[in-house]
Amino acid sequence: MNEQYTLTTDVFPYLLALSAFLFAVGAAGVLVRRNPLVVFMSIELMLNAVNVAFISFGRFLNSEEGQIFAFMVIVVAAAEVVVGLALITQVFRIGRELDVDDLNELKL
Amino acid sequence: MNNEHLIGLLCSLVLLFPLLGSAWNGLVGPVAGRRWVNLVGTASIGAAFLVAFTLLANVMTAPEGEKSLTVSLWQWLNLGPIVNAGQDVAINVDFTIDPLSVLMLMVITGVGFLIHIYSVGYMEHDEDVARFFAYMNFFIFSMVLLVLSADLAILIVGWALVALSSYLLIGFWYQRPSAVVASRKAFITQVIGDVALVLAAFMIVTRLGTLSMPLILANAGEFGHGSAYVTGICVLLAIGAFAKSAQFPLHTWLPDAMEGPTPVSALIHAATMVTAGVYLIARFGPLFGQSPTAQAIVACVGMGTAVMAGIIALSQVDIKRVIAYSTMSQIGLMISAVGLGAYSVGMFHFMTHAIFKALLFMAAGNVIHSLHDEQDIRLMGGLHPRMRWTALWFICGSFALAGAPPFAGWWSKEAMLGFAANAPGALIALFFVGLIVNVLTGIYAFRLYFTVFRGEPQTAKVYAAHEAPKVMLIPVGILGCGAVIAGLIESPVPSFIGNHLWQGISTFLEPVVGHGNEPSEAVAWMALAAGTICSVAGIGAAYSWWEKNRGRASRIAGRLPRLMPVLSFHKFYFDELYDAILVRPVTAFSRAMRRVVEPRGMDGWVRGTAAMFDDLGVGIAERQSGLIRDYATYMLAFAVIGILFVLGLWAK
Repeated sequence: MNEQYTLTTDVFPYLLALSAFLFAVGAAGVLVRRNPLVVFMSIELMLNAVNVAFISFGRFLNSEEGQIFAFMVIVVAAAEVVVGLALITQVFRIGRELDVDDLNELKL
Repeated sequence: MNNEHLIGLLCSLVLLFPLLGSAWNGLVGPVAGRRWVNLVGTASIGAAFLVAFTLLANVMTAPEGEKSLTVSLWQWLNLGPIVNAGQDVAINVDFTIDPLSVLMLMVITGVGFLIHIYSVGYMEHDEDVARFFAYMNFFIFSMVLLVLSADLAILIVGWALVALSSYLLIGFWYQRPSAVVASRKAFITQVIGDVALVLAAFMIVTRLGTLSMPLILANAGEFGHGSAYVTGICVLLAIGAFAKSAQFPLHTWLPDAMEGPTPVSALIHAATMVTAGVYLIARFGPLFGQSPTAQAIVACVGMGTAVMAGIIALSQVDIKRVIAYSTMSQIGLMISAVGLGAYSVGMFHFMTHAIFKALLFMAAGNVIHSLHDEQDIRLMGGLHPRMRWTALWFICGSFALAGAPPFAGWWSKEAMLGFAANAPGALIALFFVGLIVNVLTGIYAFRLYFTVFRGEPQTAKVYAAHEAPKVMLIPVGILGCGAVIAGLIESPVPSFIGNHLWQGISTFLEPVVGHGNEPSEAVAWMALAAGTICSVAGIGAAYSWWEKNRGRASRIAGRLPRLMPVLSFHKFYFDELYDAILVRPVTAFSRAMRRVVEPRGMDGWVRGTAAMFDDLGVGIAERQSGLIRDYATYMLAFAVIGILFVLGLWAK
């Protein structure tokens, strides 16, 4: 690994702050939006915020594990999108409105 | 096989025969049919009797000084060194074979065998004969366990099991509410005695660190002569004995126990179980010897019960209850005798009483049977010509009970009077009370005979009366002969025959219970003469009041102060007294508990706990809204809390 790409302590906190900001935006999107597609996009945003944190830590600590984990997250996110979009299309097909607050039958 | 192994085997057999008989009758009997039940029920006790006879022969032929043998079968429980370090307290299945236990064994299995045969006839119309024999055999097993046991804990087991058998048999006809109530009363009273016995066992084991009875008796001196501790133990043992033997103040269950079938009354409530109290005190003789106070209490309670029961017996009208009160009275005499330290005489009277009282009950059973369950003596009369054999044996039994020479009861009763006449200090009063009891016994015994068998028949039922079948007459006859001759065991006659094996009861029991405070020849003869005169006077009075001059008895009763016949007829109001001071308060207390404490207190706790979890569950269930938004919020919130928590830990 090339020495010059190593992050220094002055840049690293900003990257973490970016990650936290993206995560917060995503979380807020999940909580407040009602369209399932937008909720999905918000979840992706949260996952990618975590990816940013992983890669930053990897660089900062001079280790490949951060990048490896980021790849894992991307793979899991892709699998999750497959399941999630399938659910959304099925909901659309049975003629329901695409509103997460309306899909609340799964309860006691 | 050495002698000890043989004795162990015989002890096991004498226990196993009745137990297996009971199991067979209870499990297979109902489907096997009446003939098999009768056969197994009686044969198991017959076999036990043969084994008991072998044991008797073994003890009689044992050399002097080796009459008492304790065999250890196995250890039941090891309680560890709970009293003294290094010395384990254990409950061992040990059996003692000595003259005392063998005498008890002979009476239990011998008289028991005859009563079982009699039951075959008595129960021939009863559907539930298999259950009856299962209970009867189980009773014999329990009683044998009680007398053979050399371990206090096993003795208590037998003690409680005979109470159980008694309960089951009193309530045998469970369709009758009165029988159920009587069985419950008997059982509850017995449990009072059981508790006293268990407390005595605790007191013994905390001091001596052993439950083995030979060891306890050998170390009886360690409690200290006359100490309060040993008196406490003896009084507790005596309470156990009083409950079992129907002595004042725990006597009220015995008359009610007559609700059971008559063979049960003969076996359990006359011959064997109710005399277990006498056996217990005789067995713990060395312990009672340490406490003159307890002995005096026992002697006085026994004699008091004897005279009280004798007075009650004068006015009862139920044939079985009269005999029940006479049993209570005679056991009172035995208890009094063992309280005076006259153990061999007490046991002698136990033996003769078992014979003539079983006889009286079975003869009364014949009468009841032939009159189709009529028990009121006012409705009988004139049965003698219709039931000649039963009447003959009944007379023998009555003479033996009243103590007319030379019947069995005469030998044992006058011997007890001799000991009473020799009693120290104020206890000599017991002798004079004993004379009164003799008079009373003569009166009530022959009142029964004259009222039931002589005079004119009082109801049409009597005209239809018929003699009992042979299976019921033969056991009665054997016991009748016993009632005539059994006392001769103690007489000088056998020694004239010169058989060196022959011993009187007192010589036979001497290695176990000693001589006691034997009266001198002059005192013994004086007591004998006085006792005989009193007994004969009682019989004569009964003759003149109920036979020669019918109606005279009621005139005499009319001349007495009004209170006396009333007290006698109402059994001194003990049942009413106990009802007022024990039963009613307890019932009222229970009702108050059910009405107030249970709904407010106990149910409040239970319902409150249930309601709390109910609310908790509903509260949590309501958080499940079905809205993903809510779930995500919870997740986020708890994640934030978790992170803050971890950061807080790091900061430390």
